Amino acid sequence: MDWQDDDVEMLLRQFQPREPGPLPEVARERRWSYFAVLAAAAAAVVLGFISVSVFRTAAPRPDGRAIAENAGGNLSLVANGTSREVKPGEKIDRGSTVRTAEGAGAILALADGSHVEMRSHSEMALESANDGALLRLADGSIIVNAAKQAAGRHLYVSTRDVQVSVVGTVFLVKADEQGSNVAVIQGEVHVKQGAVERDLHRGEQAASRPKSELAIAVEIGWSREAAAYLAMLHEEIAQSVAARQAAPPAAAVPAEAPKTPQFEEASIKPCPRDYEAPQGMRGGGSNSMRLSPLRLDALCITVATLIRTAYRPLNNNSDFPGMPASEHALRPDTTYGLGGEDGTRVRGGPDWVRSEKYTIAAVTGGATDLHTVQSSMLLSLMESRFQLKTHIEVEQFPVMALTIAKGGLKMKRVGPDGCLKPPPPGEGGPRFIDDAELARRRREYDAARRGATPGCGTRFDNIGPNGVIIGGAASLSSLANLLTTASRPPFGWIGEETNGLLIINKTGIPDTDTFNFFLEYAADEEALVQTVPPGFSKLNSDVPRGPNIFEALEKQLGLKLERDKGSREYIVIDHIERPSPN
Amino acid sequence: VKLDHDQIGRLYRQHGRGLIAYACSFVRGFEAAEDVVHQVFVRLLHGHVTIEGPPAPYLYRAVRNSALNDCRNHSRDVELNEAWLEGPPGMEGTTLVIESALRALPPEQREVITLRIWGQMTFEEIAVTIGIPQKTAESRYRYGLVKLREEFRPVTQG
Repeated sequence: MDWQDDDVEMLLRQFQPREPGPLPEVARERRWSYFAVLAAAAAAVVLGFISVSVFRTAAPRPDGRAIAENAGGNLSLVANGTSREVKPGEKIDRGSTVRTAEGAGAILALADGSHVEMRSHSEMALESANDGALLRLADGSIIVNAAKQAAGRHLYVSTRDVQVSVVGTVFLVKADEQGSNVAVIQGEVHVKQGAVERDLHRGEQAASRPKSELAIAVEIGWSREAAAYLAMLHEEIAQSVAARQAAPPAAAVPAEAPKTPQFEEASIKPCPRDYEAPQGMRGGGSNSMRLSPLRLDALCITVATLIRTAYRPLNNNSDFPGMPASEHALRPDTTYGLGGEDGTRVRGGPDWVRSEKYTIAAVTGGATDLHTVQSSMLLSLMESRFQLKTHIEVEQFPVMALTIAKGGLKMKRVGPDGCLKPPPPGEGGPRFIDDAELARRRREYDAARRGATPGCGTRFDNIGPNGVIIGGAASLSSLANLLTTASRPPFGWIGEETNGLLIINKTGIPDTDTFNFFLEYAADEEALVQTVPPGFSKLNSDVPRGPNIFEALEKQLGLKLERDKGSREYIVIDHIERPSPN
Repeated sequence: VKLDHDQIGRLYRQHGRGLIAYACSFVRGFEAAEDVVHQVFVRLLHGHVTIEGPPAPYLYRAVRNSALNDCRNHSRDVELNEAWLEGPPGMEGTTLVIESALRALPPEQREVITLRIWGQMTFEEIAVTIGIPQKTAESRYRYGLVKLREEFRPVTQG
């Protein structure tokens, strides 16, 4: 199914820009500055009857006032037994009491840049203290994401029976009528309960009632930022574990053989039905996957897709030719629609591996790099629960081969220093494709055509009616990959001349040999119009139309492009069983 | 027209998100965009500026100029890349895909798409705001959508 423009518009409109911080006020009694305030913040979860004070250095003064950042009709101002709705962006003066509705929370921005997330059905008063602001929680739960405090200024969160002082930290506090709990996610806190005071460090908890240790991950689950806090918590724990592991052992212990990384726990359940993706967006429906350093979630996914996703990139059988394996991993916290498997990459095994779908939830047991989660851990899971056994086979398939033309190579062989290094980071900022930029590119390409030293790496672009490919100390395989990219959608500049076939380097020249090159060829006019902004090609319309890609390669670089056979890898399933019960 | 503080506050609440999105089409990262938008409003609050005509085109033009100045001044030697979009429940992760796809667009197409989608402007307003013919605005928008459609393809086959 192809997307229409309306689908793209609908998708975009589902996403909204984050709301900016409160507007700085000037020349008024209330002088709040929110510039550069939201830097390293500390967060606290407060539930029940606890008092929290946050001590930081630098920046603005808390004064017990707030702005409703994300109220969404869920927040009410309570006064004299009546209440009225607080509108998003509305200022809340000190002395006010606010309450969240049943089933929905709200976020407040304090004058010092701190943010307070209120759980549904919570009530809190905003008050001033002698040296700062005081949030008095009457009922429910809040998460305080505290900004740095000015010298001598404090932010307090108060409940009934405990006080907690914080020095740059993230922590969770829970309380009910029976007592209170404090658990530190990051940094440290100082807890005061009556005359008893103590410091807590990351991973530690204190309770004013016996036998009530918190499951922190569960307690913060209501927060919009729960994933971030959870990741923070696990990162802290992982670091703590790593530090312990790095410490010299008390006694010599024989080293264990390294184990294949495995998920700590995994649930695999048959998918009861197919899920349509959310309207306007296909990632997120069946065959979708989401990774984080802490877990893998797959929704109604076929085993064939799982195998394909877990395997290393297959030689000459990837959606993204030339992409290094290190960039093949899915990005964190992003839902990918991975699609089905059409038999190109995964073959053999019973039919159900391509039709039956499973929903998988697996936890890594600690912060783990995504490549390990996606490959080693996922494969290991499939081997243990599906009894999966596979091997790789190689087959011949039609390709376009890049070979050396009769006259020999016409490219300059250079080492890694034979090209211009890119400018250091921070030079320039975003570059706008305006007349000046087009003129700059024109000069650059004219110079490259005359043999000037190009920038390092490869790129492709167009100038007027022509496509150009520029290489600086680049391999011929990278040239072949760019030719493939330029020939396939969405570009298609090389048109039907190569039939979208994979273009592979068959010159016999290894990738350790690198060259400077400039290739200019006549681009497919229709494809160019579709993919280049109007005016872009017009402005360089005086550039003469170049030769077709075959001639260009031969005359400019001494290379030949011709139909051939190549070899590609695919995965064969030797054995698989339906998964064992959880 | 010289606006009072309450009027400026209302404008900020009304256009703040759209202006942030627009600033994000020039500068990298939410915080840098927020600084740019705040600079514009601080000038208004100081009473240094009078607005002639409807305020929205002025605000967007002012944000554009401030953002371009920010880029020219090379004031940030580290590229920030904080998320600036928020997704609906269950689709939060997709914001990265959308932001990445927008970043991959030619800037002039990104600019028009941002003004249209999040600035909620008509093509006529877009044309006035950035000083281009309306037809150009329309075609930049159309070409931008075509590219986005292709950008989304690798992660949305399913």
